[in-house]
Amino acid sequence: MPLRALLINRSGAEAPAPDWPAPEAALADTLSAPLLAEPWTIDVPVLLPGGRVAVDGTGRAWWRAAEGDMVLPVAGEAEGLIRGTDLTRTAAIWSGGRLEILAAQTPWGRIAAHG
Amino acid sequence: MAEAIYDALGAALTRWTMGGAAAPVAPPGWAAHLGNEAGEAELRLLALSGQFLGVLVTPAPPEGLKPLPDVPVLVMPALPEAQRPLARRMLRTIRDAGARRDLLRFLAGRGWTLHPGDWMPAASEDDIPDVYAPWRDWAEGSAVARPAAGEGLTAENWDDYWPAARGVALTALRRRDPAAATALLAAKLAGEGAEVRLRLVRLLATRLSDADRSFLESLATDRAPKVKALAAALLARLGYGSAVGEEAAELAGFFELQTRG
Repeated sequence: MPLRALLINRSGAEAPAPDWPAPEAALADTLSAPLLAEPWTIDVPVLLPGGRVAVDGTGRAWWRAAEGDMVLPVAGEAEGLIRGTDLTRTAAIWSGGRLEILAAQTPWGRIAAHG
Repeated sequence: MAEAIYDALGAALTRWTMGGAAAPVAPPGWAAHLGNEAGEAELRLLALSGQFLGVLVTPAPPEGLKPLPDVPVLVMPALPEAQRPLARRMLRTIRDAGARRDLLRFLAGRGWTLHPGDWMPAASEDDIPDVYAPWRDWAEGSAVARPAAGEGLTAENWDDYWPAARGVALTALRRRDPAAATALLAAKLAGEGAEVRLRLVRLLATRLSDADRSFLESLATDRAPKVKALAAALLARLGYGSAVGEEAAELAGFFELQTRG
């Protein structure tokens, strides 16, 4: 009969969380290349460079790159800490019209956009 | 060339919106690739349009994008990373605000706060530990700079405080110098909204004394019924008010004095 192991105690210092990798290509190419290769693609996973969420006059959220002028509309409200801190790296899904933020590396540590 | 295609697509999209065929108004250079069969031409034009818009067109932001201020760091540290998963599980199981308030007080009593990535208060949540007042102000969207550390609340810097931080400062002032807090309210209360006036007058319940009587009696002409009622209740605690004697007599009527033995 197979036995099940239970974690009873854990000791020792936790290893520091590794830094997120830098995006390998320019953001414009990252968004368009999958669609050029497979035109039926709906959702494109992306790793964004440093940026921050900004809001327009209607309160709608946009992700804006720290360098360059790339701006992408964010899906939903993007409430909470995601709006009030620098996003060193952001993992998101680009659906062609909206950016769904999944998680981000920030000065507060790693945060998830949906709790 | 991309601009010409984009402009031509406007006519195609209009035709489709009206329920008509768009192949006759296809962008230049595409018509030769749509074929002769009408239905197939519409499908090919639809595929090309979707690919073009998905690859070469991104929504343009409106003018005046503004980032919000940074979420402020609280005076107490956030939970260590090892405890955050447990806190998140507890937050998911908590259904009512009272239980969450108990969790916040439990943590604050031991010198910790929740991580802002796991929970942040709404601006209206005033029944939580004062340590979260900066986050409440951030949620309200206030961008006014805070006064320098150690600078007490006065009539001159009243508007420089974020609302929640002002409430915390006034509470501390009331405990330290009740007369000064009453004088400050007398000078600044009229300029606040009804809900804010109600919250601020409620602070007078701390160290309530006869010295507050004249200010409370002045609130009898307040525009908000709740503020008037609260002021009357505080006056009644001091033994003043038109209905005090009547209510005492009515309550006395519920009891019957008897001798025993």
